Order: sequence, then C-alpha cells, then structure tokens
Amino acid sequence: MNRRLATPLYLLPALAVYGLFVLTPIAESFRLSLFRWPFPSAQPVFCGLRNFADLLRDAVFWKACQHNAALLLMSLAVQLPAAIALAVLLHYPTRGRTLFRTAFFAPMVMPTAAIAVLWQFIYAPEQGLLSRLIALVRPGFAYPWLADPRTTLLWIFVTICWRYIGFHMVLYMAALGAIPEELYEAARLDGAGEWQACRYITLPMLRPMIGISATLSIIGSLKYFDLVYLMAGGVPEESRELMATYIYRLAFDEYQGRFGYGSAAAVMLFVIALLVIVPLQARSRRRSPDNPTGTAP
Amino acid sequence: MKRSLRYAVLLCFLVLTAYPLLWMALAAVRLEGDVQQNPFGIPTQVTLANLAAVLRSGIFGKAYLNSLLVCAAGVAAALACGAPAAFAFARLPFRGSQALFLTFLLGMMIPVHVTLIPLNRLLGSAGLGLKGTLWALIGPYAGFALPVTILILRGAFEAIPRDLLDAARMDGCGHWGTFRHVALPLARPAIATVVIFNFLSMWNEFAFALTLLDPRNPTLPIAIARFKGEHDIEIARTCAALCVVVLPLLAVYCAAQRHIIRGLTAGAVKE
Amino acid sequence: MRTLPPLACASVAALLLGCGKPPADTASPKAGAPPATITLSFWHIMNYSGPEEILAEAVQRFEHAYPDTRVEIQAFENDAYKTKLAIEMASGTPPDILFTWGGGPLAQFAASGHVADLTEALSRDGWRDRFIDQALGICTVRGRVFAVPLDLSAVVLWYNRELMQAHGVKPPETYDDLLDLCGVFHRARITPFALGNMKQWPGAFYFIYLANRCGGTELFLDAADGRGGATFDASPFVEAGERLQRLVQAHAFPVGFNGVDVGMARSRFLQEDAAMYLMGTWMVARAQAEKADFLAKLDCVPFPGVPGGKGSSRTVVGGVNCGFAVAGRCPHPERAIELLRFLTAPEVVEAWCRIGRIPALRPTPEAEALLPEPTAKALALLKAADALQPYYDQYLTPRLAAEHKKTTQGLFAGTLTPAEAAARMAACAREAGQEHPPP
Repeated sequence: MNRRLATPLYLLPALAVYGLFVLTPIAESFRLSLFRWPFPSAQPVFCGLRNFADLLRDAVFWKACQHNAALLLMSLAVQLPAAIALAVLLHYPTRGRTLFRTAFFAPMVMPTAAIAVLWQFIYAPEQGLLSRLIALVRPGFAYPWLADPRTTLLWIFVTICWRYIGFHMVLYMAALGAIPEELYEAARLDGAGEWQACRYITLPMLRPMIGISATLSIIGSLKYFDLVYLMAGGVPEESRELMATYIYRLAFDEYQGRFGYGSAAAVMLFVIALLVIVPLQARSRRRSPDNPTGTAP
Repeated sequence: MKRSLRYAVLLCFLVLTAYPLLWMALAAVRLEGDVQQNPFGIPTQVTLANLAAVLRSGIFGKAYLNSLLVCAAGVAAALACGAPAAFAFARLPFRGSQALFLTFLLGMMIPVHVTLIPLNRLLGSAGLGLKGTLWALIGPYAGFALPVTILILRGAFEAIPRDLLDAARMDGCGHWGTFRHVALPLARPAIATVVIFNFLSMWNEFAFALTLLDPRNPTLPIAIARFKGEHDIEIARTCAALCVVVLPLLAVYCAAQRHIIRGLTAGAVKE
Repeated sequence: MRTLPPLACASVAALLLGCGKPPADTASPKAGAPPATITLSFWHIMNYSGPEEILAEAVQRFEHAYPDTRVEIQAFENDAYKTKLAIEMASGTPPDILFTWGGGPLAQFAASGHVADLTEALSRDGWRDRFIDQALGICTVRGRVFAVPLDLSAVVLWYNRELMQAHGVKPPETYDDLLDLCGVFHRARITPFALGNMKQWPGAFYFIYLANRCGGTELFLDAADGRGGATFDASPFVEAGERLQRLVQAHAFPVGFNGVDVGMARSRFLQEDAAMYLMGTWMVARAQAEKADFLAKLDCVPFPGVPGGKGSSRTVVGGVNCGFAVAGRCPHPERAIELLRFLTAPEVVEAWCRIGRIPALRPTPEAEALLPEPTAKALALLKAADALQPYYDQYLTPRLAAEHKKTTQGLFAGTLTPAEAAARMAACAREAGQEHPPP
C-alpha cells in the first residue's frame, strides 16, 4: 500500500478514541475555565480571564506546584534508584525469587483506601508503629507525623515511593532479563569487577527502560492525587495540597463548587506540564541517535 | 556482591512490602474494636464475620467480573489503537508528526477530575447514551491510556534496528506486514510494560467509575468504597473486602509470574 | 509457593459462591402485580448495616402500596455521594429523591430550583406535626420546607464516669472546670480529651460550642445570614478562638491530634486513655459495636458555659444527619413525596430508635425506651435545650463552611491567631455574600 495513504489508517483509530474521550472533555474544561461556576447550584457565568488572574495571586496554588515539584524530585531521586537496585539484586540467582517479586509488587495492587488506613496507623503520633519503634531507643517518643506542616507531605511521599518501587522494579527486571549474558562473560574475561560490569554494561543497557520509568514517574507525580488527599488533612492547605488535590477540593469537596476556578487551575497545571514535557521531548529527539528510545532524559 | 548482604537488603524490603499485606489479611479476620484499639497487636479472637459480610453483600462477584471485563477491554482497546499510531510516529515520517504526537501527550497532563462533568454529558442520555453500562468506561479508559501507550511503544519501535525492518521489507512484507510480523513481536517487552501499567491504572480507577457506572453494577474500587462508614472507615470489613479483591489477583500474578517475565523478555532484541 | 495456585482456586471458588446470591434487587416484579410504569431513583448515604436495611424495608412497603412504581435505591459512601450528586446536578440528571443534611447546601439547591417545595404536602394529614421543630427548621429556607429530616444528632460532652471517679473529680460545669480537669488528667498521664481532627469537623465542635457560649446562638445566625451588622469577626468569635487555644495550651488534646483520624480518637476514648470526648450521638452505636461493655461507663453533660458569656449553657449543638428531598426536576413529584411519607413513617421511627439513633420525628415513649442509655441521656439534654445551635458546616454556604473548618484547624495548630481566623471568616463571608447575594 502507498505510504501516504497508509499512514492515516495507522493513526485513525487512536485519533478517533482520543479525540472523542479525551480532547473533547479537555476542550470543555478549557472553556469552563473562563466561567465563574459555583455549581451545582447555579449556572456558569462568563468572566473572561478573571479566574486566571485570581490564580496567579493564589498562594495555595503556587505552594501546590512546589509540592508537585518536590514529589517529582523525590520519585526520581529515591524511587528510581531503589527500583533499579532491587531489580539488580533480584537478578542474581536468588532463593525464593517468586516470593520476593510478588511481595514487592503487592503494594501496587493494594487499593489506596487500605494503604491510607494502614499508614495512618503507622504514622499515629504515639501508638503508631513508627513512634513505637523509635520509643524503643528513646522512651516516651511521640511525634505528629501527619500534623507537622513542614514534614507531613514528606512522610506521605515516602508512602508513595514505597508503593511504586515494586512496579518500577518489575519494569527493570524485564529490561535486565533482556541483557545478553555474553556481555557479562566478555567483561569478566576482560577482568572487569562486579561494580564495573554494573556501571558499564547494566546501566547503559537499562537506559531505555530508565527513560520509560522516569517519564511515568514525572507524569505520575504531576498528576498525583490519592494518598495525599486521604492522608494530608491534618495540616493547613498551603502545606498539604498538590495541584490535583487542590483542583478536586475547589470543584467538589464539601460542595465548594468553584468548578470554573478549578478548571482554570487544571489549565495551568496543563501548561506547566507542557513546559516540562516539551523540552524533554525535544531534547531526546535531538539526541535520538544516542538515545534510541527518544522517550525521556 | 556478598550474598548475605544481598539477602539482607532483599529481606528488609520484603518486610516493608509484605507486612502491610499480612496486616490487611489479619485485620480481615479480627473484630473491628480489636483492630481499632490495638492495630498492630496479635488478634485476640478470630472471626469470619467480616468475610461473610463481604461475600454476603453479593456485589463483589459482579464487581470482580466487571473490573476484569472493563480492564481487559480498556487495555486491549488502548493497545489496538495505540500500537499502530505509535508505529506511525516511529517509522512512518509524515508532516506534522511531532505536533500530533505532542497532542497525544496532552492527555497525560490533565487532572481527571475536571473532565468528569464533560464526560458525564458526553456519555449521558443526551450524548452517546452509554452511561450506566460497562461500555461507558471503556472509551475513557482507553482514551486516557493512549498517551502512555503511544509514548512507550513509539520508543520501542524506534529502538528496533533499521536493518531488521528493511530485511522484512525485502522479503516482501508491506508496512502492515512489517508492523504485524516484525515490529510487534520485537516490541513485546514494551507491550507487556504498557499492559501492566494500563491494567493497574484501570484496576484502581475510581472517579470515572463513580461517575459513569450504575452503582448497583460497579467495579471493584466502587464496591470497596461502600464499606466506608458514615463518619469513618470500618477497618475490619474494608480489609476483608480488600482481601477478597487483592489475594486472588496476587495469587494469579504469583502463579503466572514465570510466564509474564518470560513474555517480557522473550521478544527482546539481542544484538 | 506451590500451595498458592490451589489457594487461588479456593478463593476464586469462594468468591463465585459468594456472588451466587444476587444482591437484594428491588426491581424484581412481584407476581401478579401490574408492570411498573413509574421509576423513582433514590440516593442516600446510609450505606451500612442498620439504617440501610431500615430504608430498604420502608421502600419495600412503599412499592407494595404502589405496585405501579419501582424505586431504584442506591446507597453511596459519603464523599462519593457528594461528588456524584454535584456532577449529576450540574448535568441536569439528579436522582428523584436525594439525601441531604439540610442547611446551607439545601438552601442553595432551593434557591436554584434543584429541590421541590414540600411545604404544602407537609401541611396535609398532620405530617408536619410529627417532626421535631428544630430538625424541620434546618430543612427550612425562608419559611418554606425543602426536605424532611429523619435523623437528629446532638454533640454533647461524653465522659468516662469511672475515670472521673478514680481521680476524684466531677464532670465540668464551667470553662474553668475544664481547664482544671485538663491539669488533673494531664498530670495523671491521661489525655483529657480524645480528638482526631484530620477531617476537620471533629475539632470544629469545640469552636462552635465556645463561640456559642461566648456569643449565643443568635449572634451566629445573624452573622451567617448577614443580619443586623453581625459579622464573623465580632468579639465573641475572637474570644472563642482564644479559649480554644487556651485549652490546647492546657494539654487538653493528644499529641498530633490534627493528623489523626476520628476512628483513632474514638479508640483512645474507648481504651480509657482519654477521659472526655466531644462528639455526636452517632458515636454510641460505634462504641457499642466496638466495645459494648464501655457503655456502662459512658455518661454525658452539656458543654460548660464561659464566665460572662452571652450564651446559655443549655444550648446544644446539633443537626440533621439524614434527610430527604425531592428533586425539582422529578417528573412524578406527588409519588416521590408519597415515598418520603413512607421513609418517615412511624415504623421507620421506631426502627431508628432500635438501632440506637435519635429520630428527627417525635418517637412514641415505647420507641424511645429502645434507645441505649447514653443516647437517651443525650436526648434528654437535647429536649432540655433552650435552643439548637446548628453545625457551622451544615448551616453555612459550602465555601464559608470550608473556611470555618480550615481556620479552626489553624487555631488548633497555632498557625492562626484568633483575630486572624475571625478576620478570614468575615472576609470569606463578604466575598460569598457578593457571589450569592441574599434576596
């Protein structure tokens, strides 16, 4: 078949589904961002760019952006290396590998509701697991893990990383399995030690997967919602919101009903994400001979 | 690296991840007051009442089936639409390719909650009229899974050595043949990644399911939420519900793991 | 690991057995009955055993009386319900009969025609007279009734009688008693008050009570409705904030209470780690389920007054925890109102007492005797009350309610001064007043 005729056929199904179920709602929320809508009790009223003007002065929103950035950094700096390390460790012949792999993956299939309940017990100020463990060395220890505005989000981020490490580990295990054994044999013959093999064979061979996993982390942390919404109620809003939780609270929580304003915040989030993703994409495209997956840094 | 050190690290992490599961399973057979008042203690009394209440509610069998159906259909639809598109982006250069690709990425950047009202209208009786049926979920699930699917698969298709594709072309394969018989099998690890990722996102998805489904015919996350009380969560019962939901899934994952991992690696290009 | 596949099979089998039984399906046509021609959708959030069955039975009785009508009941979880209802209302497809707490949100729905006026219907057959006036008042907007309440709740100061006796103290009668008790229990390494304020409403009770004792119920109502120049930065509101912070400084609450969920706070009280607990009457049912023998030690008093305060210490904070409204768009309002009659029928009221909850309709003495002892005591306080102070988050417009909960949590955390919190409330009320000008 002629290529010029064929290309649209490859794209058409995706475009149809995507256009109908994703682009239309997005376009609608862009439109609503220009309205004042104390819904559900009233009709939307056009207000031009006023929502955006308000948003620029909204301290909570900008704090929320910073929190997203912190989550992003943390998932790249902690979650990814840990996932790689665990995958490498498990790649050695290991007794009970199935057990390890299943258990590591378990937090990922555990529904968020259960995770939130359990970790609230773990983080309970006095009788929580964490406080009790510390009390073994420092009797009488108590700490408001989820009520200290400076650190609450940090502890929740720890929970988030804990949850996702197993998933990323599975990705890396798959990639490790694809590295030809001969490379390592050749390295051993050349007298390379274990660390060197890791540095010069494993990591470079993992690079495409690192790209994928980093991209998933970046997007995931920009849109993150669940555990923060469920666990961060104990601190003032400027210390607890992520962009997505703030948008939800504006629109739905306790019928705050500022749907137009929430949509405007979503548009901002969208623009910010775009500003992060587009340069990354462009850069990886330029480097494409070097970075064949062209996915992410 | 030292064997003992390696096992020590692995065991540490095992405790971190397996303990919650164990806790959940234990809480499921404890009395509510017991869990609330001594969450980390040894059960004083074992009861099957929570599990019985969950199974008796009768909704979980249906919800399980619904979740499996919707997730399978959503994953399949995302793959069926996304893979050819990713192939086009990777291997069939056309004008506006980069811009269109970015358009596809846009979907990843919108928080789902602001799309609920527009989607509700689109699928409601004034629009497609699918609301309340399982069909209503498949479209949005597939649509919102497309960006990640295309992003990952494009990378995988680009990583396939040019020679292999050219060789296929020489052997008389058209584009479609090259795509079906060469590119797709070679991209198996990426496809498996996409499938796992999409499946898990859909499996845990709450907002769309709440908006678009008939609550009497729900998916699992909605069914689980029913066990939250008026003012706070009923832990023992929720955990029992979660056990019913999670343990079979984990068991399947555990049993099928060898095949999954083999599937993940079998098609990889070995240069 | 070899045992896992059989285990998986077993659990799947168990699951399938479990789902063999279809869920209670109200839609099944009764033999010999004419086919249903009217369908009513009914959403509520009483999604747990007890209330859920009572409502389902009431609906069955209704369907029996009106064979041509089918009711589709859907029970949601609280948060899910709020989201779902907002989306459906915005899309113009609300359920025919909807659950409501009355107050501010109901007033907004009423102002925009989302809910039907029930005043006429209530005046027929003495229906109106069966309700407790204050409960109906929360469902009333400018003299018109838009919902019928079924559940009434009151917040009282619960205390552990044995702990009080063991430490030789009496339950508090004044604010200063409260401070003294805090000292006594703190020295004895017992938390004076159990509190888990992560969701923000449990802590709000302290502010509501203190503001009520300082300024009286009328001041709040005036400030909320923008009458007589009353505002939320009036001095009693500031004083309430100060008194609240003085309690915090007196170690009234456990460490990190702002980050603790309400369930954990209740356990603390039930485990006798805490002496007092300011909570709604619904707490009794959970206490009974979790630690039945505790009920013998459970007692309650009204929240103490403050020296020189305008409010009476007999006023009780309370409100409607479950009410029903008919959607403005409902195509069969007459039939829907008929369903409301069944939902508030004497049988339902009696069953409500039997599960230990206070009905918003006057129960018969026999029905009232079914209430557990602590609940009956709280009800006595409610009956003796000279006024009912509504929950702020129920009475105010949603946005102001959210601001109230946020600022109160800030007062607890010490991140806001009482004057700042009051100023924020007043500013928010002004803004909200501009958005929804009072007619």
